[in-house]
Amino acid sequence: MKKGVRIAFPYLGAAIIFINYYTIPSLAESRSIYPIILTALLIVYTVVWIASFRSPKKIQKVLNLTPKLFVGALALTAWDILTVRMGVLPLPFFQSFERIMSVFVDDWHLLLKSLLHSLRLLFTGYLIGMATGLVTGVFIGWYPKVNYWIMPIVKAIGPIPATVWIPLIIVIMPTMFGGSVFLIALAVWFPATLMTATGILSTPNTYFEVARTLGADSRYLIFRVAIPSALPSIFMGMFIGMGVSCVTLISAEMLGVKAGLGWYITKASGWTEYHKVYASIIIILITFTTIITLIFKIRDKVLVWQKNEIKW
Amino acid sequence: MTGDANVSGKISIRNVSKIFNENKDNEVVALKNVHLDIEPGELVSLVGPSGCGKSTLLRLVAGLETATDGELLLDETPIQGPHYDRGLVFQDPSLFPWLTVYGNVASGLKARKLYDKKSNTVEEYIKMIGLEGFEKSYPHQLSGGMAQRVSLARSFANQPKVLLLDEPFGALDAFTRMNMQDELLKIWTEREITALLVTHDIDEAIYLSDRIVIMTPRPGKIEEIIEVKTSRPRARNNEDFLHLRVRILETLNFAKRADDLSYYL
Repeated sequence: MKKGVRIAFPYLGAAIIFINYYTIPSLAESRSIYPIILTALLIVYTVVWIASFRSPKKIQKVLNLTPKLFVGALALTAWDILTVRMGVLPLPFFQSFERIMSVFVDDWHLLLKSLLHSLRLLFTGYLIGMATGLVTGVFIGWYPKVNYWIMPIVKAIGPIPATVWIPLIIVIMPTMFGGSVFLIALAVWFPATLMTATGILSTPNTYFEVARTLGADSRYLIFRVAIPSALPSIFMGMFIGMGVSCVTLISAEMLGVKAGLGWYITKASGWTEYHKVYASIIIILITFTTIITLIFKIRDKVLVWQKNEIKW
Repeated sequence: MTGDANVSGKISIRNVSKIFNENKDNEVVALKNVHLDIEPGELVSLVGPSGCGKSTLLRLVAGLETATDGELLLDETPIQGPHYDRGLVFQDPSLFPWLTVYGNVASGLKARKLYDKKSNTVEEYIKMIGLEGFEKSYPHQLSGGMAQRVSLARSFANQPKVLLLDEPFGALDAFTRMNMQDELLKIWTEREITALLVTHDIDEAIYLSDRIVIMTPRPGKIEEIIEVKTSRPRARNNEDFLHLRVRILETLNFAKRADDLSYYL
């Protein structure tokens, strides 16, 4: 397909959205948010497109994206027609895109507060879980005796979803925040421990033998041989850990915590404000995608020595 | 070999036996009563079919295994565990994949806390093996021959008294192998280091060694020690070379008759 046509795809998509928006009458009152957001997105696209002229590689990247943007526009149009134009999908469970976007305008303050609260909880729990998991993983991987005694505990507790502890945590822990941190940390601790231990146990023996003939002491063997060799596996643990901690976070907030995005969703659905539910789901999506992308970026930096297999 | 007190690197292997026992009924005698003295600065090869215990003997000298019976000494001091005095190079270069070429060559110095950023020791060894410009490359970006050079440099950077080589060029193609043999000879001559080489390759043993120790299996023991008197640099195709080759093959029961040289030519 010609490049010109491909470049124009997003404009074409936007045109379809606009035609739909201004020609077919709406069942609900219009807030004119849709055109503003769409125009902003078009400006961003145009800027990116012009900036990509500097390198053929970037142009190719933009060209790869345009069919998806076009189909995305068609999907949004279809969604709009099915909801607010024709009323095929029933209110209030299905909300128009414009209504969902309006939440970001009307309720941004509470949304932001909830997001920040969730992030605070997530990172506190995640970091504690990761750190303790790393330590237990190194001990299990390095000392056969620790492996013998502690591994059964890890194997027993690990596969239980952390969320099953919520009813107990509500009673036992003095604050719900502390309880949730504990839950998330527990959820992360399992994959972090397992993947660290696996990584250390699977370090080729020749690395240790070479290091010992080079004059390495056990400190060097642990920190300069075993742990670097285990890093790819440790990063796998970090990804799995991020996944389970997100699940645990949202569940904990839905069931007990009185703040955060999970709480926001529960509250909104209680008031049948489903447009707010959709809005917070979009926030969750953007947040977690960003976090995972960041971890991947860090991994690519730390593991430059490795030929990467999993791309994000 | 002078009587200079500074010259060191004498390996004494005294009546060493090594028995691996998976259980009491299943003992494997890897080495039986092996006796061998290696003089400082000597290059000695261990050849023999697999199972003759040549790699076990090397690992004993490296300190990675302990002898069931007998003594191993370096300069009259008992060998107890691995030490940077005895550098080791495997067939698989076993470079640390998370370190660059520079980092790998520097790893011995760093492990011994002798690494100094300002000194250019590491650069010297990288230059010695001819890999200038590859300092920042990672092992996965290197060819097999280059990786083995780095592995050699990593051992040499520690300035060991003894270099232990376990089939170091076994995984390389024939041409790279011959180049690496010359390279090893060059460095060995410059550094006046004692070297013990395990190899499957009889030609390699003849080309490189002062003495060739022929070992036979079940139980692993020394069958014969052959001195290679030909002066270096040696031609890979002269008559001495071929005669030695026949003699070694005969000892290992792989040859027909020694006088039937035309068979090998």
